[in-house]
Amino acid sequence: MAQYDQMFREEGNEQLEIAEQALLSYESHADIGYIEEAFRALHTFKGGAHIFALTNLGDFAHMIESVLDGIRHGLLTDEPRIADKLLKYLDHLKKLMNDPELKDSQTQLKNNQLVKEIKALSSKISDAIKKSDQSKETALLEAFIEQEDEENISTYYLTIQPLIDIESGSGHPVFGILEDIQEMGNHKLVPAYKTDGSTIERWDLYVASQATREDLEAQFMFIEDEVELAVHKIANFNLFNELGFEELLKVLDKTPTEQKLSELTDYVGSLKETMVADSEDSDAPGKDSKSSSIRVSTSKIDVLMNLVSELVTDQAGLKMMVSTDPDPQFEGLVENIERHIRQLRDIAFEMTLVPIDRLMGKFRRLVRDCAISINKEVNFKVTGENTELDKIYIDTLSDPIMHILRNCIDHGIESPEERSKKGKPAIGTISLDAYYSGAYVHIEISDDGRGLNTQSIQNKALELGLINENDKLSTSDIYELIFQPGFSTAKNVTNVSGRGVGMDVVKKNIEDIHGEISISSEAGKGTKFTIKVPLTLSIIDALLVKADHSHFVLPLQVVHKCYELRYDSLTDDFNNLLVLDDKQIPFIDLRSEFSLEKTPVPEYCNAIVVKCRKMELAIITDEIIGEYQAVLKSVSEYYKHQEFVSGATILGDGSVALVLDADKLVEQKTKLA
Amino acid sequence: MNPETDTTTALKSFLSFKLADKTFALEVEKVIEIIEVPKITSIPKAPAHMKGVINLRGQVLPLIDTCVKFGLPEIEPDLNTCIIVIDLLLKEKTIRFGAMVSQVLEVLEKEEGQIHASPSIEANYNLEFVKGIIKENEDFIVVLDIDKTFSVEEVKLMKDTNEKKTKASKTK
Repeated sequence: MAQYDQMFREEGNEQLEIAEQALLSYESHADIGYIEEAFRALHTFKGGAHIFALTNLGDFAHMIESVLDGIRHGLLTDEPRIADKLLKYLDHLKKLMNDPELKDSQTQLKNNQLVKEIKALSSKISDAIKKSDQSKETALLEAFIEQEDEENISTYYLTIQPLIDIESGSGHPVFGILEDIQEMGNHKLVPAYKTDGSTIERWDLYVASQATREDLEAQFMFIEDEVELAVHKIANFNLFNELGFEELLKVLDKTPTEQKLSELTDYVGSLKETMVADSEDSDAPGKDSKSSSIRVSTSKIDVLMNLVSELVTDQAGLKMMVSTDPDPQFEGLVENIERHIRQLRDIAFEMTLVPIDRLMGKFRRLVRDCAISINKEVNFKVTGENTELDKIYIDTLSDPIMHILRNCIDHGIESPEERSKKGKPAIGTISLDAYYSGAYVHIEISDDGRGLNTQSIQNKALELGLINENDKLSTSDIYELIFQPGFSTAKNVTNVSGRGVGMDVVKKNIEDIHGEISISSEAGKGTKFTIKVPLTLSIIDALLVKADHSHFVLPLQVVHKCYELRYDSLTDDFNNLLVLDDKQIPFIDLRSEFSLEKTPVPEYCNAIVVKCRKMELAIITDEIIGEYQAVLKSVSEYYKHQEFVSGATILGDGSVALVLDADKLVEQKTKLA
Repeated sequence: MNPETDTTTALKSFLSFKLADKTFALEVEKVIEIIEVPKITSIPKAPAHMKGVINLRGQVLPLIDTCVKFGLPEIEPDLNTCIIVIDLLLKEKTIRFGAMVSQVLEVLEKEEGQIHASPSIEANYNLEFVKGIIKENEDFIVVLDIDKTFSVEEVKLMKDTNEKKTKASKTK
């Protein structure tokens, strides 16, 4: 039972979150669609609660549901701050999740009070509940068609009329194309012949597929001159699944060409009507729309990812074996396996990716509550919420982003009075933008508040002894100070932020997942935090290099350029600078840096220019072996002081190669100097 | 409960091994497996007893040269050299690592009562790492306290002293 209990808890919390998010959206845009969404979520929740005999939960959810029902029928429009109330009910529901039996007397009291409140609301609704059935119908129609649309299958009607004589059975490319299209999904092809019985006059092709009109038209692009093509999209769902479509097609064979299209549209129109009639019976539209996905525990996905990583490693070994002992049959097999493993890897990766949207509900709520509690008005704008990130990142990033948001509201955004004095809109704006850039995901959080005050940061740092009075700091250096432990410039400690135990933890959390955080700010205009995290944690594209007898791996993302030079050109250089492309670049020779001296120095070596956070750096290696798909493994706690080793990977021959972190290499070097 | 199981619970098993020419032992339940020495990848700038990492069936395993750890000369791997794979519970996290030893000897079964607290084990070894002494054929074998010997803090401590040493030698 406990296991099912857990299942309900997970599912229930998820549904409540969906409902909460929908209500928050409703608060900012009074769109009935959000209410529908919240209604559906609560309905699912209610079902679950009743299955597990959690009557208090189920009943309470049911009451909220009836209020929502009232709203979507437009019966509660005069109720002020309805979303606020509903959010309060949801909070209570969340509390009930932990105490479904109402054991705590206070919870019970609250419950009774809220129940009374809701009942008052719902009695208002029940007075007029049956008034507007029309709006329900249209809502259902839209919901239903949308649901069909999710599968992205549309039905097309194509007419293909040859402009030249094409005989059936001749090898004309059009036959290949028609076959290709027919493979896309359910289809029916009807050829019409000219009077001689073998030359094609036209084809009527009905096909239901995920392809777009453009896809279909593109099929014919090489024989544009030889056929005349018309593509009609007749429905945004699969007509072949509908009753009577096959029969209709038979009838259409005998219908004059010009009327076919109108016959089809009439049929589709009639279908839509019956659909609404059907769905009126069930009170929860979209109830079955989830059947295409299943719930898998994250631990299983982790195991899957590990296994895939193992496979990638094994594959590297296999590939090495075949290259030393070429056998065409074996080679072919290995190539096949490689291809399959790559596909498997990609799919497994996709599974671990979740849209950042997952976090937004929490954030919206936080921003709203925070702003209300300190009497500021904030508009929270989110763009790029569909950007996908590794599940681990989503979990790790949640706290840092929350903290930054809190800081933005508390320190960044000014009070409404202050804002209007400055000529800014009274409502502050915080925007969160997530987007892909190369192998990284960027998350930008910006406010239009007062910006960072470099002077007060410096004063505070002086006070804390973090800097000396004579230190000349660049603006970015000053911003960096915020990330020092115990740093807070807030004059008053509020309950929102300002305990000074924040930004250093934020930075650490982000760096733990190999991410970076940077700040830019303009006094009076606002502050922007940019978090940059790699797309994935477990497998990276890398450059495999060799120094002495050791192999090292450099993430390909940081590699800029590679040069070949004579090894002795390095030795007489006392300040470790290298001139490449007329630029002076400091270098680190892995041999001398890591005291590798088992083999004699080579005549030529390779300089790999990598981009570090602050500068470019050349890493000197004996040899570049090539690109490599590195499965990252941690090198355990024991080596946490060797920070320049960000991980290890297992090579094809079973030996371990270290993954170098150029930034940390520089850091360590400058620290020692 | 039959008497047979009773006697086995009272027995404790120890794995004895050699570091250079001295015999030590550790509790067998800490041992995951014993493997031969594969190719070792050394990690630059690590303390001397941190030998590097090895590949244990796809897992990257840190390797400790137990001899260096106890102030003995570094192990030059030969036929007898073995790696004892050990799971260590540290701050609710299990850390798996390999301890390289000169030679693995045997599993000894001793009754609980036969483990003596170390009376005076001279100052040759740091007493903190000693769990007790067992007697085998008139020889005394030191049982190591694995949790303490290989804790990460301990590693850090060693590193610090090493650094001090190197710094001191540099200033000379």
